[in-house]
Amino acid sequence: MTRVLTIARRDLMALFVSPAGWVVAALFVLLSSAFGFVIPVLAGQAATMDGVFGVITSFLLPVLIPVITMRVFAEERSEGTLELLLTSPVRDWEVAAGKWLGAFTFYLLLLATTLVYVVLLAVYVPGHLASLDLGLIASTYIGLLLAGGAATAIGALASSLTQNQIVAFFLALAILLFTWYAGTLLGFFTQPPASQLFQYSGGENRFQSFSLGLVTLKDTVYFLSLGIAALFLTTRLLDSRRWR
Amino acid sequence: MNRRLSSGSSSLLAAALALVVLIALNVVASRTTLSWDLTHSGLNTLAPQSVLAAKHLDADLLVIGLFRSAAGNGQPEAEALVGLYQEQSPRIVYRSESFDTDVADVRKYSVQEPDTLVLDYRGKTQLLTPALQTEQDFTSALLTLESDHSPVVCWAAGVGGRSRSDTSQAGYSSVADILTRNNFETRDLLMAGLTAIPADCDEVVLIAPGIPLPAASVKAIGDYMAAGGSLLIAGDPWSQTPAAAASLNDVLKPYGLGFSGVLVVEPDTSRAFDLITPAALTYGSSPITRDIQGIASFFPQTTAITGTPDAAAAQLVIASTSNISYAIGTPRQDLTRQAADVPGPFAIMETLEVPAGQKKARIAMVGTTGFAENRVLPPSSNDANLELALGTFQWLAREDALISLPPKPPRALPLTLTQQDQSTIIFITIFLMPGLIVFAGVAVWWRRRLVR
Repeated sequence: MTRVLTIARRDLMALFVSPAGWVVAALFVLLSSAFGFVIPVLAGQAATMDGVFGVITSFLLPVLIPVITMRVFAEERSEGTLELLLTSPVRDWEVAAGKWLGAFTFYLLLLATTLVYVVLLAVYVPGHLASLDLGLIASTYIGLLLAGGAATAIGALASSLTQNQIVAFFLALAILLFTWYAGTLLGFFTQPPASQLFQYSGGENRFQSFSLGLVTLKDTVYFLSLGIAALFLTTRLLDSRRWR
Repeated sequence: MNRRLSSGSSSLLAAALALVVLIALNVVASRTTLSWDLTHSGLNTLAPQSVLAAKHLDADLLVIGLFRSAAGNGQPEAEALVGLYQEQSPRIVYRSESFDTDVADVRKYSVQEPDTLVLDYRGKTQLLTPALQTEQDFTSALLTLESDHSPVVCWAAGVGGRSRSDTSQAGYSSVADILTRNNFETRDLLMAGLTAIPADCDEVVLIAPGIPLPAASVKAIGDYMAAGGSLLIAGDPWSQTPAAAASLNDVLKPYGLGFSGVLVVEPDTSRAFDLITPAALTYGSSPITRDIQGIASFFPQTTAITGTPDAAAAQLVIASTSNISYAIGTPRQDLTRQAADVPGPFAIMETLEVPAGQKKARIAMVGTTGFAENRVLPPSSNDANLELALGTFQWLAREDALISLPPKPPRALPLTLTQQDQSTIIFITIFLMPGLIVFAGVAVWWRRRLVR
């Protein structure tokens, strides 16, 4: 576990010393402030976090997470440091888990910036904190944690497939967009039972219950499975260098 | 070579095995309804009455969601609600279909609006249109489906007026359809020679007769109401048969109310479709209007309801016109305001509950026969008039007594922000937060540059 944490810390620090990390953070905060908070709350005069959560699910998850994860393996591979890491006394799964944890922690920090909006709502809504439905907000954050965990794992998997960061970015973007929206799109163009299968397996549909304040076992298992499957495949890909 | 092959094969096998296990886990999880409602006011938790209604199902209830794919179509919310009932009863089977491609179901259930939920139970159906998809609506529909009783609507016939079978814009065929789909039984009640209203009539409908009502019919309706009956009565302005309009008012006379017969003109464009079609956006608080507050319903060519009932009666104005409205007493072409016109506001729809022995008689009065004509119902119009008409029939059939659930608070509370508050929020979120991040990023870059 110590080795996982060491790799995670190293990757997280790499994000903080690179301009990409700060650009991603600034862009995310600006967009979630403008389109997620100011417009829905000030124009709608409603104490809602739905706009912020909308920006996270439509922009942070499919677009910014690939930016965060594109370098985790691809950069190391292009610089030749991946071989060094894999031949050091760490297991493949520890490398995969450490890389994922580093990117996921950065995602969590971005998510944490949105707590400022909750505080602002609590300050301005009549009745303050007591009148805000914190349970509803908490359940959406739980959904975002699970969906973000799965998305960063998918991003790491995409990065492990190539040594080109741009390719890794577009690969992750394509997989995430497909995973998130394909259910809805394919479900619309197909007939049951295929449409039901697509609708069930669409990330956007599985996230809905969290945004309604409901934490369901099936949706939790769905996102955990996605994340675990992506990490497992990443580990197998790292392992594949032994027999290729 | 063999070692490589063996490692590769075992690796692929392990990956495939892991994927199979994860898929199996998801299949198992998809069959469970285990969930935790974290909302403060239990937005996702059913009231005990709803749980009981779901548990009482003794045959499969097929719920079909006929949605049109679009953002904000209410599908997630509707499906989450159906899911809550499914947790309570394995009898509830749900399937989602496209309103635009599932022609068979749309035709079978006569669905007129996208984003409608169809409930099919033992051959009986209930349609929940987008405005009727709250827990209260769903549970009411369940209770209606479970009930063996179909309310009987006795429709005054043989005296002219609007027809239930007329499919033209001025007809009432859509209302007849919606009543049938909501398990009402409708039958004609011949006014000629009528001496008593049949005991099984749950409500009587009297829509502006074209000829005078026989005195015996008026007395029969009076006796029926005195025994706690229910009556829907609609008038019209500028009646071409004053005797018919007078006989309609004879029915209302015992309650101190009547139709004035004047034509109401609504110059406030925010509250009217045109000068002689007032629109209601806010309504008196009643089970009839529970789902249409803020949604415009139309009252084409309406007259005003006048009079003051007994103190013992509970009168409620459902819809009224604005302060600048006025009424024209006698027919004329020029609708601009003249000195002789009567100033508003006017009540154009009211309900009245009158003590009748142990019971209460219920009357719903509407100033226009156009309020439920095909022209103002879907697909020609939005569903506010439909909800208003259906809600009225249900209220008269006392179906509102089936269920009374406390309303749940809205997901988003209203805010009243001053200019100062808004400026503070914009400064913190648009300038301060991104600015701090940019500053921190530049500081890190500068420090690293110095170290190098």
